[in-house]
Amino acid sequence: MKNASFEILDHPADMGFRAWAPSKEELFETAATAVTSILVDLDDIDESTTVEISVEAEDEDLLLYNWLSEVLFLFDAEGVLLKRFEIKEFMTSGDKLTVVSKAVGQRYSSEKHEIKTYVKAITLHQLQIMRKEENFEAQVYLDI
Amino acid sequence: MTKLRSNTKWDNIIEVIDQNRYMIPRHYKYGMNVDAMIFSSPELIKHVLTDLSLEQAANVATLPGIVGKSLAMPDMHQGYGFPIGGVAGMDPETGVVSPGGVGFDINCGVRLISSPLSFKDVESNLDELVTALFKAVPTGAGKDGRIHLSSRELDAVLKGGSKWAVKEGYGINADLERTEDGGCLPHAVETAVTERARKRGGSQLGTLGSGNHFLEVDVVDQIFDREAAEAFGLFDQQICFMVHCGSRGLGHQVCTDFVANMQPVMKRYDITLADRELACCPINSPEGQSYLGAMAAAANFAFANRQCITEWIRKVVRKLYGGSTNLSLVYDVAHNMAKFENHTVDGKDMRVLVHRKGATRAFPAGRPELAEMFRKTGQPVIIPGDMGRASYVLVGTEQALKETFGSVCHGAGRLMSRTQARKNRQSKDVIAALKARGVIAKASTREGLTEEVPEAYKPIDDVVRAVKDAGLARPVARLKPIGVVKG
Repeated sequence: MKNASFEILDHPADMGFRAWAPSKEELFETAATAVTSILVDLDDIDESTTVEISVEAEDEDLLLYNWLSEVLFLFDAEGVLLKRFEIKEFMTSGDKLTVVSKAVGQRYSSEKHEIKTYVKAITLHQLQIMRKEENFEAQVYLDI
Repeated sequence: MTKLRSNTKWDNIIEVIDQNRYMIPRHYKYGMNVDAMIFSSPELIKHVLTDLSLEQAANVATLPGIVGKSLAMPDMHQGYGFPIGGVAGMDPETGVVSPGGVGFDINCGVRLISSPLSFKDVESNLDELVTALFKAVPTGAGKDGRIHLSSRELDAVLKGGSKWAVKEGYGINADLERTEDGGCLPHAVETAVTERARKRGGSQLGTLGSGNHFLEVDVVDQIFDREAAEAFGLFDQQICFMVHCGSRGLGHQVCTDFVANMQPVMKRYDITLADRELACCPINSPEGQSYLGAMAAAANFAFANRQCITEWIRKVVRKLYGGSTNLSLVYDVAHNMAKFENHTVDGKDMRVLVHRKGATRAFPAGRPELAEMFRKTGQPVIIPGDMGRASYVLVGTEQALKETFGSVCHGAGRLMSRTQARKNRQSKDVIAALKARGVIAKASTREGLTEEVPEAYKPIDDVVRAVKDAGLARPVARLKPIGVVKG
């Protein structure tokens, strides 16, 4: 069993990452960390703010898209940079899946945080959660 | 039939019609409703044979209700869903609208602003000019602008676009005639813009953003068509300003929200896709109509955004070169849009919803959409290159109307990924290399410069030559950058 991690993928114009983890919870957590790490240096983010994030979708892949889009939205609309994520649970109700989580980070400060790459959006291009032996894996492309 | 000789799988698939036309026939892939036609050249086509670009053009051909051909322009490169440089026309009755076919940066576009100044007038204080522009135009990620809008004022921006901006004093009436669609799409539905989109981007009006967005000081370096150049107000050695940006976080969030919301809708209409990012729904459906209303509102936000930035540039120039130094808009083009237009498809006159994802409308003389002053010449088509080499002003042709719904390329197109471009490159070296070429560059982040290094792009001269050789547009003038402001 491999530890949860991610790597940046090349794309001719944009950028992507591949994340893997031994559980689906950790996969979601790792993917969210990957998005923040593309925005700024993770080491520059304090753990002074906690937010609850809950998003829903019709299927698992779309849930990951909505989850990562929420992390980006919190940065760009609310000015909150999140570095550590904890998925509390995945719930199913009728035809909806919900992810409930807690995330820790701090408010964005232009003096402290240099934006490495501004991400316009998460895309659904080739986005798919896969089972690979003992691991969950997903690749995600971002619009830069 | 001529075959391609590239030692790739495409040799057995692509039909080479001529040096600039490469066709992927509809039998290539299950579900293709039409052929795909790639406008390119023997040199440029090589760049797209080994990634997903061509596959993406074929995927677009599978969309319900597509008419004519799935098209790609010579600056084509791999996107997500649609290829960048992709153009697709949809039948309004049977076709779909795809937010991914417009892109996350709704109405991203370029405007060219001309000045009465010549290169010799700015040569001695160019550094001061670029620094003043860098200070005057907010740049960088998520940056808030200096315009604070109430919710009601934001509604007015979403409804009025550049018209709102001019009314508020950010420009002059003449700017509107020189903006695609007069800078205001009247069918915008401000209430269709999600609350999240308003929250994310509402404060970003009058800001440049980051990525490949820029503000440039250019000098007219070569004129190919004197008559057209004169009609567009361009002369040799003239100083111009070029602005490339879009609808900022507001547009990105509109697209994000609609791409997600269309997934269950597609199930209802039994639409299956080759790539989920092609997410779409029937034009006639309530969801399709809602997207088109929100898209138009975000497009108006983008028009207003470029209009406000124009005002910041005007202020800088008046301050540095005297109060009577008036800047005129040459034209403002949108290159991420879907628009209803009348075209002749397979001999039949029809209304078409034309998606342009990284492609520029290039209407020739005579089109009713153009303002009076461009009815005899055709519209100026603004094509930025990279920050070290050149940009172009073209004019559309009848041939483009026949073959590409009156569309051409939108830029040079990337050649190198962002990670590749960053590798072994320091921003200070990029600044020094640009300076050696006579370009002063300022950026709010280090990556803003290294990722956008000139070598990361295809040579714009090659792309424009392919467009010209294909007969899709005629070059009018070439501009060289001398000052660059990046996000």
